[in-house]
Amino acid sequence: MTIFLQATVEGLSLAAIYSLVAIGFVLIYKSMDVLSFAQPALAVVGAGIISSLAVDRGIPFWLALILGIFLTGVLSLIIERTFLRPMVGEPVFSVAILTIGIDILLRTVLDSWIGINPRYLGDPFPTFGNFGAINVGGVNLKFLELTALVTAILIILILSVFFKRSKYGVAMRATSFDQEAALAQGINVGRIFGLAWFIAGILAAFAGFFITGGFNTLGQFSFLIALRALPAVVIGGLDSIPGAVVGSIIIGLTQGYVAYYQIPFENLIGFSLGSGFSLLAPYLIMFVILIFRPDGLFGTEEVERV
Amino acid sequence: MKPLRKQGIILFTVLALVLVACGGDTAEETVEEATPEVVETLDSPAVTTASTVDTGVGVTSDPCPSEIGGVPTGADPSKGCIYLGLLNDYTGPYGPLGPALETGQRAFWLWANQSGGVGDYSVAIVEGYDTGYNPQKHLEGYNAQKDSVAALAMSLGTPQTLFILDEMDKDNLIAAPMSWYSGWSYKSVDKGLVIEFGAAYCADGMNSVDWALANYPVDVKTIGIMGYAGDYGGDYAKGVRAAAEANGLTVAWEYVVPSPEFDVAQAVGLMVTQPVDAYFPAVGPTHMAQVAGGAFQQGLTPLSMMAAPSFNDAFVREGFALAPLFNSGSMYLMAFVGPYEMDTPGHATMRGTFQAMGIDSANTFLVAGWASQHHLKGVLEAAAKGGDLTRAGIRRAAANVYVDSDGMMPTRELGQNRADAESFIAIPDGTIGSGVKLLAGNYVGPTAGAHDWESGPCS
Repeated sequence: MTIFLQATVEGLSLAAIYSLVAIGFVLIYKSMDVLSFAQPALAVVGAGIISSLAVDRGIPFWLALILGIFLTGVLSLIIERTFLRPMVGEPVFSVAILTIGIDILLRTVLDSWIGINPRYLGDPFPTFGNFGAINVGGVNLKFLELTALVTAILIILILSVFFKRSKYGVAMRATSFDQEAALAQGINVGRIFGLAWFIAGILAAFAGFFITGGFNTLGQFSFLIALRALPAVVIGGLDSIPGAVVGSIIIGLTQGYVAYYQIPFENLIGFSLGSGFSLLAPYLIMFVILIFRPDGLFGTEEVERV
Repeated sequence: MKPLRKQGIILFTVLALVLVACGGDTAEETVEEATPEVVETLDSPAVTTASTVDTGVGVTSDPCPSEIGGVPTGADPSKGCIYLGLLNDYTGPYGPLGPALETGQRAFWLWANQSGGVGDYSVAIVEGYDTGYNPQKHLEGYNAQKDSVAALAMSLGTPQTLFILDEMDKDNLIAAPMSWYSGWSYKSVDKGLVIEFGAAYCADGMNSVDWALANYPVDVKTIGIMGYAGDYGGDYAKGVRAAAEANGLTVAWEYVVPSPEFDVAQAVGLMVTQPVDAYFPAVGPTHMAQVAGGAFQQGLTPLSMMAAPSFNDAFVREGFALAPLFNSGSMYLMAFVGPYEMDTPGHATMRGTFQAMGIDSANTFLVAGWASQHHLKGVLEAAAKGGDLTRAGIRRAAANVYVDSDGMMPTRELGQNRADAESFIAIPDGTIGSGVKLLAGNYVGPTAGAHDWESGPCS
């Protein structure tokens, strides 16, 4: 039972991180009809900015965290204004390829900055408890992961209220529903695009911090963790925020349970699933779900008239 | 949105995910025909002391430039020049290490040239080519440099060097590696073209187990192995497994996957569900910290014997959260070569040269860069002594020559078809410049000592 709870906690912690990135994917997709492959890069760039402010410049960590997250949102907004805005109306594949280019550009600059040694973010989490963890009933709880979980839940709640109650939230929903109708209603669609990228950048920075915080450190492979949010988006449905959250939970829990139960399961069946199965399993689930639900669990089903 | 379009996006997403994750490292076969400008054969006379020297591609009677890459060459203006190529990483996963390796190599030839050079020649490394740890770019770099150099001062990476080996064979172009794959010691793999230095990862794996059993403060019965497949992790894991079998140890788990697929959650999960007395990681520094820290948070502190690439001296510096763990005495590592502070004439020369150049660092990769050139220098000297500095002559010299490194590494007979098995074992120590304290040098454990190294590479 302890192992099960431990695997569940680990899985939910991963799910929290994936959901932050996944919601960013969905926001941009809903507003612009484009999957932004720059999200993982924005996540690690956000972590890099926080590290630069807190460790290199000696700014108090919590202030550096807030500044770093805000600056990543601004960077995301600038990317939208400079690279993406001229591409409005162009084929979505072209725009998606452009975001891959942005991803490579951001990571190349970041990797040059990282240098020889992995970067740490200067946060106090490893000083809490036993190197950042506390044991409750045999289950090891990590403060950084618990914070990620709470933060993700709070952000999802705030976004829910934002989309339902605020002027810009309603405008974003209207734009995602029908851009031309939104324009006709006087909504500044361009500003909505920018806002979507700004929020996605902020979410990516949060995820970047939770991926690289503590002793996880920021290295050249850190972005791969954020990249694993992509199957979560596909499982949940490209245009559904609840779907992104549910998809993230499915991916995170699958990864957690496989991590802890693969070998006992292999011993039981007398057959090896392979060393890399914990990362393969989410994709298997994705394929199975797509067979029965091609639009994802919560994606909008479209009907084409022929 | 139309369903077909959405399905197309999903398909595109999956394909793009694979492309982005792989970083374009896929080894594609695009071999170009090479036509050597100078006809050279391996049927030339045997290496002897000669009064005249034949020269070929990459060897000029004109002197070397006084400076390349912002670093003085120390070349003698009255001597000719032997040019060496450089396939380095300035981008990609090992991009941050490339400049340090290159500095060590240029520093070495600065010292060597100022100490007399190679016969009537000084030696200069041309501007490096950024291969980004990508086999295709490695081949591009090779093709860009092959017509102007006599040998390669460095070919970084095992898969990358294997990818250009057939071209090197056609061109008679030897290279110093920056990897410790056991295959570099066997002509069946390297065709006598790779001038290996230091112990192979596989031998390090064997020695790490034997040394641990003899010196660890706890009784080791059960072990775990983790590493990057298709790279140094595979070779290291083979050695660890061989020694575990020889010593009757139980291997509770072996988690060896390609680096982009390494899952920290699974690595920690294995340590939690299948506890071991010791584990032997051959991963990158970031994953190393996450795994060691993750296990420690769960109350697990098994002894660890890291392969050299797993460690980074930042782990023991002030400010890093896990410095107490890495300084705790439960973590050990296999060093590439003897660390910066080691007491040998070669290390003393290196330190003196670095200091004269204003290099205030004891970084491991500076030392590896410097050490990598010693054996190449021995080969060039043998070729010059034999009067044949054509590429075929240099290759022939590399097939049968004793090379030394002023004590930095054991004297080695190249071309003997057996891997070096003498390892350097160290412990992290934040009070030392290099971040590691040497515990044993030139260590050969019972497994490596009894292993039939003439049977071929481990992997």
